[in-house]
Parts: sequence; C-alpha cells; structure tokens
Amino acid sequence: MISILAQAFRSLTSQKGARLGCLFLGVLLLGGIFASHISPYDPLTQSIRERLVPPSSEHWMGTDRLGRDILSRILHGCLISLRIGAVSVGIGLLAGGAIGLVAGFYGGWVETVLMRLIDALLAFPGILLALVVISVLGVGLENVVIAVGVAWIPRFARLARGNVLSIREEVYVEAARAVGCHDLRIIMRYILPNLIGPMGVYSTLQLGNAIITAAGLSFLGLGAQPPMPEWGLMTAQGRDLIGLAWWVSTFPGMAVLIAVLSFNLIGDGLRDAFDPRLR
Amino acid sequence: MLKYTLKRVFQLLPVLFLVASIVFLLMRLIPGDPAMLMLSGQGAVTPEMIQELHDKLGLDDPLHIQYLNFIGNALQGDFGSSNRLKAPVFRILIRQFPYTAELAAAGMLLSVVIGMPLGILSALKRGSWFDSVSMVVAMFGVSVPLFWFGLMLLLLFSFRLGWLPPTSSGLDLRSLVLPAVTLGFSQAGLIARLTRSSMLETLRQDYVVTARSKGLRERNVTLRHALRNALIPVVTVLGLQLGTMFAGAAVTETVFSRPGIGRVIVNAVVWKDYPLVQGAVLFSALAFLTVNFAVDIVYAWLDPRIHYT
Repeated sequence: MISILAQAFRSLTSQKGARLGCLFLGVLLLGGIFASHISPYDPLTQSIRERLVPPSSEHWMGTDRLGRDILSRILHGCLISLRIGAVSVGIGLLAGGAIGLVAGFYGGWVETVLMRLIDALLAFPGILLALVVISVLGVGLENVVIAVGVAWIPRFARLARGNVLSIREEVYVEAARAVGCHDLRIIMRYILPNLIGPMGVYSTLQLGNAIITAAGLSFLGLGAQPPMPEWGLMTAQGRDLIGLAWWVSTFPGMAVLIAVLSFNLIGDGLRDAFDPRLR
Repeated sequence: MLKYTLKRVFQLLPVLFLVASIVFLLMRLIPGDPAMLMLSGQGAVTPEMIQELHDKLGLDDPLHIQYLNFIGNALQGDFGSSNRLKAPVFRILIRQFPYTAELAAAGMLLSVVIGMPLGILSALKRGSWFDSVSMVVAMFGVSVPLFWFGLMLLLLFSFRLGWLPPTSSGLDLRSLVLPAVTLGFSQAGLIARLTRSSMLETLRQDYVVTARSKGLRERNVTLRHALRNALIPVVTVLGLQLGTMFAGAAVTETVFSRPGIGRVIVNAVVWKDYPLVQGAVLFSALAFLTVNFAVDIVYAWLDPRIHYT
C-alpha cells in the first residue's frame, strides 16, 4: 500500500503534465476552501445597478444578468464541482467495485447473473442512464450526483471483475487458502490491496468525466437550480447573452475546463506510472 | 461471415429484451402516482383527468400485465404516446432521428479525419514537437466541456466574425458546421490519444520488426503492417462513441437550438412525460446496440486473426 502511494507520488512529481494538473487542482482547492475570505463580493447578492458589467478592475470577470460578481461565484463554485465529481465517482467506485469484486471472486452463477445485468446496463450510453435515473428521482443537484454515480457503476464493475479474475489466480491467494484463511480475510488482505492501484487510476481519470457530465446536466437545467453558483448552471445562464455579454458564460465554462484538465493530467500521470507501455 | 452475422443477431435479441425490461422497471420505480406527476404543472387537475390517464396508460393493471403489454406493443413499434406532445412516441422519434443522425455522423467524420492522422503522425514522430503539440491539443479536446466549447464557437464564428448562423434549425449544411465541430472536436482528441498509444504498441510487435528487417519500405511497414492492427481498438471505441454521441447530442442540440433526439429526451425528463422518456431511451439504446453490432462485423474485416464460428 505504502509502496503504491510512493510510486504514485514519484510519478506525479516527475512528469510535467501531472505537475501542472496538481498545480491547477491545488489552486481550485485553495480557491474553494478560502472562497469566503478571498471573494471580493458575496456570490448571491444581486445589484440591479451593476447588471452585465464587463470585466473591469472592480469586477475582474464582470457581472451576470442579476449584477452578481462572476469571480466570487466561480470561487464559491469550486468545492461544489469538486464534491460533485468526488461523490459521483465514489458511488460508482464503491457499488461497481463491490459488484465486480463479488462476481470475480465467487464466479459461477453469481458472476453470470451480476455480469449479465452489468452488460445490459452497459447497453445504455453513460449520459442516457443518468437521464433515466434523473427522470425517476426528479430534477436537482443531489439527484444528478446519484445519477452520474449510477451511470458509472457498470464501468467500475467490469474493471474490478477483470482485475479480481487475475489476482484470484495468484500463488499468494492460493497459499492463503491453503493455510485456511476464510473468504473475507482473503478479500481484505490480498485482493483489495491489489485492486487499489488500477481502480485508483481509473477513478482519477473518471473524475474529470463525472464533473463534465454533471455540469452538462446542470447546463441542461436538470441539475443545480438557481441561485446556486454551480459552473454548468452559470454557463447556461449566459447562453442567451453570448453575443451581448460574452463573459457571463466564458469564465464559468473555463473553470469547468480547468477542473477537468487537472484530473485528466493527474490521471494520465498515474496511469503512466502503473503502465509505462502507454507512455 | 453470414453465419456469424446471423448468430450475432440472435445474441442481440436477449440483450434488447433485457434492456427493455430494465427501462420498464426503472420507470415503475418513480415514487408517487405517475399520472399525477405527469399532469402537474398543466393547470387544474381533476380526479377524472387522473383516472382518464390511468386508463390510457393501463396504470391500474397488475404489473405483469403492464409489462406484457409494454413488450408486446414495443415489438410492434408502438412505444405509447407522448402525454405532452399528444402524438405517438415512435412518430416523434422517427421525425427527430435524421437531425441527430446527421449531427452524429458529421461529428464522427470530423473526429476520424482529424483524430486518426494526428494520432498516427504523433506515434511515428514520438517525442518531436509535433507529438507534443498534438497531444496538448488532444488533451484539451478530451477535457473541454461541450456546452462551453459550442458557446465559444458561436461567439467567435457567429457573433464576432458573422461567418456561420448562430442557430441550426434543420438539415442545411452551413448550420451543421458549428454543432459538428463542437461534437467532433472532443471525440477527435480521444481518438488521437487512442490511435497514438495503439500505434506505439503495434510498432513494437514482432511482425513489424520482421517486416522492417525484410527490407520493406517504411511506408509499407507503417500502412500495411502496423496501422491496420493498430486500428482495431480504435474501431471499438468509435462504435461506443457513436452511440454516446447519439445520446450526448442533447447538449450540442441545446446550445445550437437544434432539433433532435437528445433534446427530446431532455425535454421529456423535464416535462415528466414518462412514455416519451421510456420510448426515447429504448430507441437510443437500440441505436447504440445496432452500431456496436456493426462494429463487430467490421472487426472481422480488419483483423483476419479473429475467426468467427
């Protein structure tokens, strides 16, 4: 476990791309944590007199239709977007990982039933599955997070099962079984630690995807609701104004891009560390 | 080959059946009375209206009867009728299909035309400035949110330069350019990255080394021996992506105010028009499965090692 983390850390600090990704992520995290201290304005306070003010020394990124400062709203949105990504990937990782682990470890009819179900779920493109879940649960940010998480379950299940199938055949697992270890101990002690590497890399790569999908759903009006400073929703609020007040959509969308870019760069770095052939 | 194709068709049927069952069950999980939810937001609702909708949708029938009716009707191309648009779901979807198909095809074409050469050249010139620049562009492509990229294209090419129309109402080519670039660019990034890594992997294989040591020209080695094999994983992803594009076109269609299946689904979710959601999801999953079926057939042509029996 420690060697995996050390390897991950070494690879991250040795690659230009991954270093850049860490830098972006650090800026977003700090911006989000200290948002209420460093934001020049309140993210929700409206000012009729200052509607659609272009970027200036007072409002670095301008103001929106209701006169709210866009920079302050973006800063307050940092943690919202990062949390959306983390929770939805977490749901996919835990549920999908558990399904894949059980299917791969026990095999037989358990595997057949679980994996056929996963195959059928894979017949839906990710965003479609998310849309079905939203239509069941209703519109709203929390439901979007659950929907994106559910949409990610099949992919994590497939990855976990594939890895467990090969780990299960290793000599150390056979040895553990021979000395009388029960299933739970074998899973916790020998299977899980070996799953962490590939699942961790995949999770990091999927964090960006999850953030884009959730922001896209909010853009479509299915996720975050006004007045929440969520970046996808903020971009949507500037859609009709794009020819008139470009800054309203441009900056929040750019924030999504930077968040996604940071996870993709870090994920790429981690993947190269674990599988150098892909470099 | 014909035998294999037929076999795959038969394998496709149970998956379709399972998909239809999942959609049916999920839609029945909706908490509360679906008829009440569907009528909410449409003015005053009377108990008669709710009962009428119950009768129309067969909501009072036992679950297994509802299920059998649903499957039986779906087999006959009857996906029910939209509550909001007052039209058969199948007719709505068929009418919207050409717009999304056109957008997805144009986006896919662009992504292949840009992504593949970029990936191949990057692999051949590994470590050069070309490789670095194209991989930065590709990384930008996979990271950029479609809704934002589309708006930026609109801002530049429609509002600032005035070259292309800002909205895209139908099947005309000028209005297709920006939506297709929006959808195609991020896919191009994905394809470029994938082609590059697949090509690098193939160039290391023994048969490529053998071809080189036989004294074949580099062009021949690259095009005939390496490229064809390197494309196999790329084709898999292309198939998956075309299906995703079908569903994911929702964002692009919204940005450019374009008609299409994606927008129909999003509106149906917002309107709580459950027959439409159910039908549209089934329709999209069907399109997705059909495309992947076609991809499997293309495999046999690409890779003679794959024998289908």
